[in-house]
Amino acid sequence: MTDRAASAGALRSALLGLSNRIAEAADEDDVCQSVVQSLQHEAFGFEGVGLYLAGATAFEPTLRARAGDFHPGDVSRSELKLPLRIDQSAIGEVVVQRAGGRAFEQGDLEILAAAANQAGIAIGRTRLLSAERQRLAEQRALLDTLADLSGKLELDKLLQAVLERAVALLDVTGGELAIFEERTQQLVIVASHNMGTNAVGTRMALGEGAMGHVARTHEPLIIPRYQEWQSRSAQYTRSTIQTVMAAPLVIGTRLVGAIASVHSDPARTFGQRDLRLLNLFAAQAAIAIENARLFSAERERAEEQEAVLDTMQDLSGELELDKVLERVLQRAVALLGVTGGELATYDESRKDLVIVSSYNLETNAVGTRMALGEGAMGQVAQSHEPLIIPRYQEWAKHSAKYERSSIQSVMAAPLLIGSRLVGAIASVHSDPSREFGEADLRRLMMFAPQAAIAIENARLFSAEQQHVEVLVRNNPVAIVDLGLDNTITSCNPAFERLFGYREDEVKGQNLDRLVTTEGTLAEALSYTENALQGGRATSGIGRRRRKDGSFVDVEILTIPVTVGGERMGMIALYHDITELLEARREAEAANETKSRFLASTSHELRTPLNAIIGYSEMLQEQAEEEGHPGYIPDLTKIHSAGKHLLAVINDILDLSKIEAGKMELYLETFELRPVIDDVATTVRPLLEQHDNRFDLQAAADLGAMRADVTRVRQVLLNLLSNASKFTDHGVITLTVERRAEEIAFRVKDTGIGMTPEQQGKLFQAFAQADVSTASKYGGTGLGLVISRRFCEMMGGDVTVASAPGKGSTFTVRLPINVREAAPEVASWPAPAGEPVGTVLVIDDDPGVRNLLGRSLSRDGFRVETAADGATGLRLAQELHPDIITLDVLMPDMDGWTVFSALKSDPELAANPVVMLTVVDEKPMGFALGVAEYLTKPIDRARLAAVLRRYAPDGAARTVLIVEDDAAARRVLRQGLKKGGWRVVEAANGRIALEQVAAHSPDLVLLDLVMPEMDGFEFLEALRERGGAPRIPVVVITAKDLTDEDRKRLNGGVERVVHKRGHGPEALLAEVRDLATGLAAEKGVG
Amino acid sequence: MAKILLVEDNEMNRDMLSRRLQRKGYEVTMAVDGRQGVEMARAGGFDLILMDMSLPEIDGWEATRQLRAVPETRTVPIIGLTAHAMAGDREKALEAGCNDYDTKPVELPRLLAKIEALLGGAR
Repeated sequence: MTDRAASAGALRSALLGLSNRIAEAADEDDVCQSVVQSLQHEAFGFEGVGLYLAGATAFEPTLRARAGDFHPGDVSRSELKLPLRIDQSAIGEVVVQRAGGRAFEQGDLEILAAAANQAGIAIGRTRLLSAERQRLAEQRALLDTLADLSGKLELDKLLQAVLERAVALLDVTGGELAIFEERTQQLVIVASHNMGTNAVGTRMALGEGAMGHVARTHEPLIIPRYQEWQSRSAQYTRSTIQTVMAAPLVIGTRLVGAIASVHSDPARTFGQRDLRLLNLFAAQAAIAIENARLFSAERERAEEQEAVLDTMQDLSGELELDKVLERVLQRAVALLGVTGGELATYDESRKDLVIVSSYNLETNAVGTRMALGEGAMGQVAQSHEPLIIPRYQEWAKHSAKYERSSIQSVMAAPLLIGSRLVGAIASVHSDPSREFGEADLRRLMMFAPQAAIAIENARLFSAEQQHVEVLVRNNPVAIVDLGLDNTITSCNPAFERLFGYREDEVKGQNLDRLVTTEGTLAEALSYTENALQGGRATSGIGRRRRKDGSFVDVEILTIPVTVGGERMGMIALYHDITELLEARREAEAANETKSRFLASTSHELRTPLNAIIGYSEMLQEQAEEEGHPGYIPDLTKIHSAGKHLLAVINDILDLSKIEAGKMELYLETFELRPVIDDVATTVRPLLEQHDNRFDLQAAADLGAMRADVTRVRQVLLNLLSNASKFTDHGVITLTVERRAEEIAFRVKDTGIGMTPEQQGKLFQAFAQADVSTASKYGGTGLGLVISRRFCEMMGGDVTVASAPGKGSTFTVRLPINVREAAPEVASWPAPAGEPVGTVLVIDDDPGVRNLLGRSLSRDGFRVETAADGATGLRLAQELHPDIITLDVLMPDMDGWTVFSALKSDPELAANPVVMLTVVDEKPMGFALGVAEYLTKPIDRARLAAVLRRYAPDGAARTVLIVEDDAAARRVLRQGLKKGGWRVVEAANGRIALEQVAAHSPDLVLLDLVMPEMDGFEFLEALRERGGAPRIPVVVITAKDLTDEDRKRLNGGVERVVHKRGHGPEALLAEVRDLATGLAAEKGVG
Repeated sequence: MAKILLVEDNEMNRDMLSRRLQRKGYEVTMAVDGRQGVEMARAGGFDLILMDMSLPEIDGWEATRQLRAVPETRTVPIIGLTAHAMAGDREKALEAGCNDYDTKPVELPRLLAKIEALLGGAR
């Protein structure tokens, strides 16, 4: 038994070695190798050893290790098999073989069992270890994946990336990922990788297909033989998919989506490890997806708000309804990313919807009306709720007009302000793959209220605008709209009627140039300037030109248009005041007649009155001296009656002058105290007639004032004599007070006083307190009226305080420095059409100015007047009048001074001047160079005849100077004007042709070299005028004429004068001679 | 006895004023228009001239200017008379060279005062 004992010792040693080796094995393979090699130990007597293990990913056990002479399936050998177990489950088997039919004994079984037992434990351990390691690696990989992915945060890309990672990590053929849509309770495939068929966009109900299944059960699933699985998806029936593993994406208990991975390789199967990995992945991915989705939703919401905000801002600036509607719709289409859309507004009166805008739809239904409840928009308008119609063509209420359209789905929303319906908006998808979702609805609902408000605003504005439009169109006042550059953008029919232009003719034209003449352009521009610069309305009266060249007197109002502080343009209004002016002129003329009548009557009355007063006074003196006292009382009565009558006449004359505006003030600076003393001296005897005491209260030095001293005196005398008339045995006080800006004169009496009613009539002409007063106290009753008018003229006034029996106090207040009225400049337009000429009347007598203005304008002249020499000179320089009439005796600057100033101005020297004066100095006048000398009183017929002789359109001959050099033109103009020519000018041929048409000149002086249209071209155009009389042309040129030039002139000109070799004077002399000679030939000279 | 030249075109005025002045002790010579007035004044011998301003031929202002322009009449006192109590007439008259001015119808005491003042000053 030594052998046995020895062999038993060897066996124990071998068994120990086996245990040690297995324990030291580092991994599963090492364990397997250790087991087989240890069992191959000779002490055991096994010829071959094999070890089979079921792998982690395969169910069939595979031979993992072998040692010695091991032949699986060799029936000639004896075999002993023992399973390998981890806990209770078999993971493989260990097999030993012996050749030659040697049997196994119980001892062999024990050895093998021990080995198998130890191997199972070892494999279990290594597997645990490696699982641990693997999990760590997986988690790291997943973390990497998520870190990588979350950086992208774009849901679609993220999902695709997640899927691709999963496919790589699981080492599968391909996969799909779907997300769960709460609203539809469907899964939508959003990512697909290497599936042969890209199913992105495909929808699945819960329970449908592998992913649908796991989504419903919330449990992962392995489908080993997919093609045999009964719930498989139809689209993969013919695919190569062999096995499928799917897992739900869940957060807590909430379903987010599902993920599936597939093997196309029949050799590959899914094991628990794969499932665990997918689960792990799915959980983490679900969170990542949800995060991304939250983020994306957040961002989307922000973007939407921004978009809506943009829309609001964009729309709020726009008030034109059509544009607003168009923009609202375009915005909505862009915001929702849809194919197109329609917008309808609600018609309150008809209780229906009108389609007002259509965008990118096959059928433009603008104008179509829909009842509430009809079609998608009708539906939402009725329900006040938005609506999504996923399959429009199948929708029961779909509109017939879209029967054959490509519209697939529709989303519509009502446009509401509060609960008030404004309209409805519809958006459509034509792409069948697109559907409306929650986000779309949210966007639309965010957008709709803003759109509703924008539309409502525009609608209100447009109603307002229509109202204004009606007003403007039917307004009798001419109204014209101007842009920033003063060009006309629109005008109303009244404008067309007033100026004779049609709207389409004036649009885009510059208003100022269109309706003005050279004379009024500057004035018109100043209106425009004021309106634009000052930003305020400017009004005035002026004269504007119609299309036919005639003139119209208008009241002009220009109003700048600003919107939100920004200048947009201007509106100009023209009110035809021809009739008004005519009426005013007539009224003025009538008033003038009245004044003249009064003046002459007064004069006629005064002359005999003077005799009555004078002779009666004389007779009184004579009666006294010669001792006939009996005559004296009667003579005194005649005398005082005469004086009274004279006073009445003087008052009436004064009043009529004041009322006709003919009373002028003569302002001067004077010391006040001496004037007061003078008044006191004058009035004292009068006051004392009624036993009144006169009390003067005034500072010894009252200083100076500037006023009309005669009128001041007259007013004070009037008040004081009135006071004395109505006061007996009383006190009359004159108080003079100097204040900061004014002087106050107070006349206080202790007389009978007045009732308020009497006071009210006090300042009315011909309304003395009562008739009995007049007979008792005398006076015309005009004195107070005149006094008050004088005070008003001087910028002051007269007031009264009184009570019956308590006396009266009259207070006069006058400015210390009475201001001159602005120097009068008046103009009388010619009655109609182009005036025969412009006359400037310089005369200090307003009567003369008025008379000449009226009569000469009736004779067809345009008349401007100046009240003094300085104004006259200024106007002469501004207006270049054709004729000037000049008074000799004028204050400040007399006529001769004005005359010499006119003659020393080269621009004015040639203008004829007619002297109108009472001073007969004809020889001197003619010597100085006046054109005519007429003495006052003016014989108007004679004056008109004289003026017509000098008027440009009268018998005067007209010469047209065509010359681009302004200096050369001026020399010719002055020279020819002196020669009695009427001169018109043109700077080039084109203007010259216009001037020929406008003025039919008797002679043309033509330069050849000019811009735009030269002299040759002008001549050709001139000759082409059919029917018109031939106008003689004299060429004045610096050019050396070539033969070609001469040929072009072709005898069409009278004469060629060369500029060179002539000084200006000589040139002028030659031209004048020529012109005169030619005119004489023609018989117009 | 002061010698007064009265230049006045209106016959009644001329008659009335001359008679009243004569009664007051003045020696009155009369001219009927401006031209005659100037001629007579330049012939000399007057202590004072009463000049109506609205005269035919040469008006009063111009006549006064002419009288002021020659040495023999430069210092003779002239009182201008106008029918219009227009403000400014006084200034116009003084400007033309009148020493004083009064309005028509004449208030004799006032005119006499002015005459006396001028004659007194001249003496």
